Amino acid sequence: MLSRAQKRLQREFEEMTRHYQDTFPVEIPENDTNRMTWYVSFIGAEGSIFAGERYTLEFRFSDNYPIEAPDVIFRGAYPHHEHVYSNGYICLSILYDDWSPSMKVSSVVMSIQSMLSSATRKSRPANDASFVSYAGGRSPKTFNWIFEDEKC
Amino acid sequence: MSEPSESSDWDMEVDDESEDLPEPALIRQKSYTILHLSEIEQRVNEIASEYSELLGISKDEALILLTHYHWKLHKLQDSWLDNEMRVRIEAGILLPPAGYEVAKSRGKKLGSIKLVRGTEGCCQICYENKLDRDALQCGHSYCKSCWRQYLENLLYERTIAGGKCPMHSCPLKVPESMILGYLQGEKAENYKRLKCEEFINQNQAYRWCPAPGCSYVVEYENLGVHGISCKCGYFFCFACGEEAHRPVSCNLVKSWIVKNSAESENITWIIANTKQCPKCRNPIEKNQGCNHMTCRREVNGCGHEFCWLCLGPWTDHNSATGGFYKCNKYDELMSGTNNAFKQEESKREKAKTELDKYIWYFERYNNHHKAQKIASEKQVPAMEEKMQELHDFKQYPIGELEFLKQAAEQVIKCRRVLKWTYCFGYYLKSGAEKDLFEHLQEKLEENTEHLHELVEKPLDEFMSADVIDRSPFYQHKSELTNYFQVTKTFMEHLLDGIENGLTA
Ligand SMILES: [Zn+2]
Ligand SMILES: [Zn+2]
Ligand SMILES: [Zn+2]
Ligand SMILES: [Zn+2]
Repeated sequence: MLSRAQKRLQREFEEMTRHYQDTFPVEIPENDTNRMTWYVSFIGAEGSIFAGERYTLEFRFSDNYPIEAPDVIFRGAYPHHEHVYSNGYICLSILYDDWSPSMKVSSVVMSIQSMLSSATRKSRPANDASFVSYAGGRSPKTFNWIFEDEKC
Repeated sequence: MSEPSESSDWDMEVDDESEDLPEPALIRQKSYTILHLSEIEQRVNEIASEYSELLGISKDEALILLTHYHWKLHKLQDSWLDNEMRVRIEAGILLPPAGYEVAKSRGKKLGSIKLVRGTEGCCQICYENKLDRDALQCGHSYCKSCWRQYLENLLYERTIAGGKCPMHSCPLKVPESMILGYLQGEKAENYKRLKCEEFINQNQAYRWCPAPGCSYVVEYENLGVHGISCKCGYFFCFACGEEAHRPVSCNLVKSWIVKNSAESENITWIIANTKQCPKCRNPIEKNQGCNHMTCRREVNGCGHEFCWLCLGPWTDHNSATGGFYKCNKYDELMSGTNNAFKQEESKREKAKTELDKYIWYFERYNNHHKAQKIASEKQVPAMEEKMQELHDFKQYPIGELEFLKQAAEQVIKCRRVLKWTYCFGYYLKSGAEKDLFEHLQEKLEENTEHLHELVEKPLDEFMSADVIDRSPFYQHKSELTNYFQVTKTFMEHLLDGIENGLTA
């Protein structure tokens, strides 16, 4: 029997393959029988400084999804952006305090894509090194993120 | 042992003009109420009903507005009079209508928040087709099980007071009647508790009793330093939440507590008792005795040997420089022109005297603290037992035995006041005020010790079955009552005196 979260994810997966097959392809690791981890990739928007660059986001869903936000981080190559840490963590309010259960995977990917599009230069967060060593392997949700600007 | 009758009229000059000044005794009259959480809830509901009537809105809406305005009633009223529509929109009980402009919305009367029953369609959380759905005025509809899960999660995250529609960036707040429709039993109680906590935390006139595990709340109108005696037995300061601390100000209490935290004291201790190895800068502690120091390799040192006083290599030292306990080089340095060295040394000396002074006050503070604790944890309950026995075996009316408990409680009060006088004394500058203060403090200490002895006097001699004569008991009663009164009055005078200036 599928859990509530799994049922909803199944519907989202169907929607993703139907409408976003080309833009946001989803890959679910074969060994994950619960299908609670997704890899979603996207390409930096035309006209932005990340144009044409392909990135992959790792989504980890809990049984309380979508009431609770998924853990979302960059996997592999990460964009050099002032709100993306070199361990792949993302400082974006909708992933933490501003999450709402009306959001979904596609809306998260679009928000991250547009966060990248609004950047005018490639950079790193100022506290990257100290944050990454402090973060260790903990979930990004366990930190107290301070969102310094609206885009963040 | 001092004579009680002497101390009741102590030698301090009593200011005759005090009648013109605000009477301290008046301020200290009991002007607070200890409330149970259920009484707070009642109060919250009363205010919500009052504002529902006053503003012509539902109680649900009134509660949302009050929460939004952090229970600042005047601010809510003023804003409402200024622009009702804006208040509704900002608080989240109304969606801004299309083309909404603040300036044009003044004076408009508006309808109420209402629940919309959804028609067939998809729940925007579980994505399933469910007939039975709820929505706020915004029309964002979710199935009942998703609403319940959502609200339970807000409760778990303690953000339910002020919780919004699950739709991202929808500003509408979830009304209480809906919350209580979805959360029952213990969850409903938790919600109510959170609501009351919000109210208490936002309201300057309320404060939780700081005693661990106590859930009483004080309501107090006159802000300021004030001892509150909770129903649980804890006696605390309304202004700062620490244990009641007359005659010391809240600020001094705070500094004293910081000072007492081991961490900050360690720093002073280190300054007074350690020096850095002149070679590797490792801190080295001197344990008394000889000046021959070795920077020990066992504790990451470099093995360098040097003189504690002049910091020169030990190899330069011999009986000609003063031997093990004296250092002529140090005397030369101190009388010479090396100012940096002298500054360093005077800093250390100062830290050392400062530390000694602090230890002296802290030890006395701590002794009274311990005695106070023992008296309240052991002596008062033991006394209550004795009173019951005297009543049961010797048929003394309970009313005639009250003095025993009162005296035991007075000992606790004296201990607490004495304890804080050592904090007060630590920060008091030397001078006439301090001399008089210390004299009176000593007297209160004597009185307290004597009262303590009397309270601890065994009552067995009055308990025995073959004692028929009650006069020894009444004699003890009169002695204890008299001494209790004297000590109490002395303590009150001392407190008033300290607070108004003893030599002023
Ligand atoms: Zn649903
Ligand atoms: Zn809504
Ligand atoms: Zn209490
Ligand atoms: Zn205080």
